[in-house]
Amino acid sequence: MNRLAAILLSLLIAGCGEGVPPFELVEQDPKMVLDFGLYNSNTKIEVGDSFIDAEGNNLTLRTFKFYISDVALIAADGTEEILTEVELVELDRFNTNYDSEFEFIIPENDYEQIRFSVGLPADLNATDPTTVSNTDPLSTLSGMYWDWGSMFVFILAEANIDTNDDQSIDGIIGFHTGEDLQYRPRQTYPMTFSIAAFEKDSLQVRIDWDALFSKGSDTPIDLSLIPYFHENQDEESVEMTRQFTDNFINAISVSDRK
Amino acid sequence: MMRLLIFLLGCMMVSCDSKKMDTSQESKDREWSFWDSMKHPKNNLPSVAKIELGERLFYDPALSSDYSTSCASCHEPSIAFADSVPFSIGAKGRRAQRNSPSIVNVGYMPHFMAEGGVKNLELQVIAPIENELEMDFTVIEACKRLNDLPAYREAFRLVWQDSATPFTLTRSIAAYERTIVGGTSPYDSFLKGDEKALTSSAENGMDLFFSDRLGCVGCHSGVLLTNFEIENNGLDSIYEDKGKYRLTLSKEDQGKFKVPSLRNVALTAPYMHDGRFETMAEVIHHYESGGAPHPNKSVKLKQFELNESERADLISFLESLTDAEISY
Repeated sequence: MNRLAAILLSLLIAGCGEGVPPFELVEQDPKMVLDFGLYNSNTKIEVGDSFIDAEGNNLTLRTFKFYISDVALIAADGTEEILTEVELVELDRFNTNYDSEFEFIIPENDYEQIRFSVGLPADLNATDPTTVSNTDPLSTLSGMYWDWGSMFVFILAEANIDTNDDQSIDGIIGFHTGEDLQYRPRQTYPMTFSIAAFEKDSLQVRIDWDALFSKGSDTPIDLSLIPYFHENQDEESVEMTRQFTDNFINAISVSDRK
Repeated sequence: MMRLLIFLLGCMMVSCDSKKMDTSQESKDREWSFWDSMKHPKNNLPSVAKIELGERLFYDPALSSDYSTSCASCHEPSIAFADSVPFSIGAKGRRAQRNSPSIVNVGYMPHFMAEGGVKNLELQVIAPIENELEMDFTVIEACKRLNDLPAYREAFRLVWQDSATPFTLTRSIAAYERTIVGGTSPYDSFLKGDEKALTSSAENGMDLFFSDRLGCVGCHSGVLLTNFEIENNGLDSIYEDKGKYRLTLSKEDQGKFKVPSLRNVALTAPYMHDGRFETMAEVIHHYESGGAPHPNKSVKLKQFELNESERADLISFLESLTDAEISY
């Protein structure tokens, strides 16, 4: 319908008499917005939001950002449409440097899967962040650069936690994943997404908080346990970040917003 | 001309009498080529103006969030560009996580940080600036601050035909750091042929140092008296700071830290990654003990025993590694 309307509009303009330049109709490729969101039950949460998780923990999200790389749509006929090499997804409405929505121009087609890696492949992970622009996902502005090891954090999730509802922060839970062990290449998520010329549509990538930690997770992580902070300082933390990464992959679902 | 002997001492990694060492022209050439062979990245060739800019930045606390801490705050020129406390105090009075190493001859090092995970000096510059316990800033914010200052704007323009950026900032400081070079110690003089440069005690200590009995040269070899490896030197049975493990997540790397150069070691107390030993005598005592049991402990560590005289001799030798002058 959109295409028909555009053609009719162009014919109307073309018939507007002398002085109006001839209008050449150019078929416009459709646009797709990839929209990432973190959800507690059915409520979308971003940095600064407070919420109560399925285990009754009072939480306030401090940071939630992660790299996706090698992003592509896969059509029903098997063709791949590469969308981007790398993006930093940051779920922070107050941070204007990075975003959680990404717009791509794609060919019209019927797509059945979206594919992306969580984290960075070795070549991108070795990027010198001083050689890219400040707004590049791999700039130090990302706050994702592990300068002590010349590599990037893949997922950085932090929240204040109050486990006993006494209105005081018990600690900061933190999961900082990185290194090859935490890289999850070419994850594919099924969906149905058909788009035609002149159309603009969104694909919603939903991350379920409960699936990251508790309900719905095959390997629940008890957020009330200390230590709260998990990076790669010891074997226990490494195991926890590995588990968190696996849960992260399984907490993602993708759907057409139409 | 005989600096080559330092190189040979390390490479041979055997007990030897310095007076019998190889003095062939070929060996001399190898030694000299080492000191001349500092590698400069193609995108950061040195120039006088660049080095001067880097020097100015190195001493400027404007690179820390609260204007309190410069690179030189933790790498003081008077003590071989190290610090005198176990953990340096950084911005906002915070305590750094590890002992500040000497950065004399840093331009010859193949990797940086205690884990050895940073592969070039330019990238190392980022680490202290962005570490919240050290300079607590960001490289990008530091550049914005510098670009607000006309003198820096002009200096960057002259050197780089650009403003202060993460690239130009890190390259400038690294270019300066590569000029911090020693090689003027009594030990160097001795190896150049000045037989009076070392005291007899230091000569005895040198013999001990290079002996199989002690095995120091197993790790502290070569011109810079380091093998550049990341080793577990038996400090603990359980490590709070896991060292290289953080980089590789491999159990085999727990408790492993970069082997430091021993040049200027008499100036760089306290010692070890956590500054636990206040004196060289304590360090020697640790190595005499053979170190704490740990599955990753270097096989090069072995128990030995020194008498008081030998300990004094060994310390005399280590003191002879102090540069008379450090160029920078």
